[in-house]
Amino acid sequence: MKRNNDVILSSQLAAILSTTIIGVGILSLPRDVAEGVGPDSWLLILIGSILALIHGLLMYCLVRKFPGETLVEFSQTLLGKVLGKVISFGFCIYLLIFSAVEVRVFGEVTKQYLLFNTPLEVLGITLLILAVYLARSGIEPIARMSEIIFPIATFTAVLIILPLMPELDMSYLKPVLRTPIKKFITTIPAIFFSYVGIEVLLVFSAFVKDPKKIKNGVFLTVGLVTFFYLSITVITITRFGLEETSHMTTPVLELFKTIDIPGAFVENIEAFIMSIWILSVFMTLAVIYYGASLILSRLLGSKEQNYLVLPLMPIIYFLALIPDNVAQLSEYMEKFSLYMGTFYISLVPIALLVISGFKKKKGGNKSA
Amino acid sequence: MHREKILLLLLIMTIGATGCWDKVEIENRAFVTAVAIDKFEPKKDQEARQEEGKAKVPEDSPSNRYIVTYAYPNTGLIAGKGEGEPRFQFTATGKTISDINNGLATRMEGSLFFGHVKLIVLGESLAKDEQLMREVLDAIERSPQIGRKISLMITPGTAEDILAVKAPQEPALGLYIRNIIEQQKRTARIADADLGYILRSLHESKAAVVPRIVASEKEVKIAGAAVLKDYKQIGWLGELETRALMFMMNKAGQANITVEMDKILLPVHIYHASTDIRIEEKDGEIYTIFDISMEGELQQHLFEVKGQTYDDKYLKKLEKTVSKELEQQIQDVYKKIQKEYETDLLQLNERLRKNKPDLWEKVKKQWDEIYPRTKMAVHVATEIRRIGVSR
Repeated sequence: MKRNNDVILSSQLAAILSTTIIGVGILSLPRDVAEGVGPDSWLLILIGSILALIHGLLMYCLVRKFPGETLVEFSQTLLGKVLGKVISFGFCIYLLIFSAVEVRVFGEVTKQYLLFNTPLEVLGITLLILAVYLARSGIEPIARMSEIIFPIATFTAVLIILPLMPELDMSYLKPVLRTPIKKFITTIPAIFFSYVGIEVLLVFSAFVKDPKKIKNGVFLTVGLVTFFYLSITVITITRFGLEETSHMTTPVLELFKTIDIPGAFVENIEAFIMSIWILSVFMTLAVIYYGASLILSRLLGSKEQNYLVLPLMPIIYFLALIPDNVAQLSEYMEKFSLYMGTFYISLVPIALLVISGFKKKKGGNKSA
Repeated sequence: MHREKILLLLLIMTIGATGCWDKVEIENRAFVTAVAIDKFEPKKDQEARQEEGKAKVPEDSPSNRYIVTYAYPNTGLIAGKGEGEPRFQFTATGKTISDINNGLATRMEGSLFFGHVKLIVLGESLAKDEQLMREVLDAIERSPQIGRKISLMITPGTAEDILAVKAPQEPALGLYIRNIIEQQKRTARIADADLGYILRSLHESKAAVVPRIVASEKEVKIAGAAVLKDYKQIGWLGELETRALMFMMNKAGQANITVEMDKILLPVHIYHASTDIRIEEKDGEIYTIFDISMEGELQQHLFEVKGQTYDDKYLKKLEKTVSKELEQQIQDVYKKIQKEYETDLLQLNERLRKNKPDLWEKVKKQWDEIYPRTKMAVHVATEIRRIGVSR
């Protein structure tokens, strides 16, 4: 039985994916790419976006064959009951860890810049409770929420950046294309994992009204996100220079501290940016949290997912508190995205796609 | 049933509403606008301070290394409600800056808030101490509250004296100094260098200029600059030297250049200047070439000398003289920076890396030795557009 609010448009899917992808990674993205490839950062981001697009399209090819089904169903069809369930359960765990990372980074940054004395636990729980509320309500409210938040967040960010324009020093993008290829290759993971979040397509495609249009959604998502990443990175690097960009923990927030709106007595504008950023982190969290609960409910064979949302909260909460300090946190994040990220963004969709190709050749006896 | 639910909801909400760990009443918040940091020099300092009748520094702490002074405005007075002094000031000594902040909490009723700091002044003795200077720079850079548009300055005396200045025009010292800095647009004698530039330049080239600030009783003067090399101060640049440097850095807004021609003093107001720096390699030598083009206006001639200025030939001659004068100044200052201080203030290393990557690869390793041996050339093109309203 489908509830009447279980259908979204492909444009809404794009909004969901974009807000999911733009999350905690944006704060440190300029640092990572500037450290790796220096003046050629823009090129690296374009390469990363092409990679993300390829993976997005691969996922599209996969989910197109199984309209109305999520990873849970089609992985069981393709790999058999047990292996399919293991893969899906792993994806659920993956999303939970992903949520925990969002919560923890949110807590750390908020504590550093906004609420110095508030305990990290309280910050985390507050965000989680809010996310629970949204994740319980189902796919369509999430879609509408991200449709509202995405334009607000990007528009405000662009507006706030405008006064920075005269201070940018474009010469930091020189020399062009002098970076050794080796450095490009070693830095590609950093940019590729800025697109982590696109894999929720494997789950959310089930709700799209017209599955053929998912392709447009993928193009739109990668386009929007790349534009956003590219402008933020170029602006950060041209404002601070390479040395400083790679020296700071969160260059993007520092960027907003350098803004003086001329003529106005407006200062310390990073509070505005923080609130926008919190919105986008919240959105990321809500989407992946919902994804995790949905997979779990499908695995358990239940029709509703909303009663599973609250029980997952303590798991995310305790996972979020595991790292001892910010350095360990970023180390864990790196390993997490390197191993689990690659597995679910690259390996699983490609493997499933190949297998589905074979099955079809055999005569398609299962797809009936 | 419905009522109970609402009651429960309200109860839960009260739990959330009490969670204000970070609530600080605005009256209890000390919005620090200016910070002065000095090196603690035990013996000498104690005696001098007692003579001047300043706050006593406790003697029983040999680990003292800094003297830090915070100034913050009386927010009540600004709002028009409170009374008393327009500005408060606290001085403390300690081993590190955060130690000092901690110690100050035992003496102040408010909590220090650094989000509105406009000015950080360093004393000369501190700036000359590499270890302390690096500690201070890191503390400033690491602080999430301090922005990068604020001013960092160095004073030849003690930094504390700057904060003691009681400017009658503007009680909030940080704003007062900021207003002076705004004048940078009008005179290039003030080094155009905010904290963001200083940190960036130090990271990239290990060198930077920092504006100099000098205090008298009722006013401060911001002119000239301190030269930092390897994270410590190694010398000063005078007002006119700073101006020449600003021309080289393409940061000169407006300037006044006075030349003498046919025994008449001719001040020319430069209102627009732009500099193009090129680095060329010729016969194994590295040349830095400055191309400066500027526009100006004649400000003064001599009374009852008619017709002379309203003449293209005369103006062309004047333009040449002005250009020569500035070229000479720039050459002198460049020599001082390059040969005497051996600092890469103009960030030639970055310019080389960006524009001549092949050359940079060759000289990267021995840049410190090569830089003082590089050559320079400067070409100034002046256009005098207007002569005022009398011929």
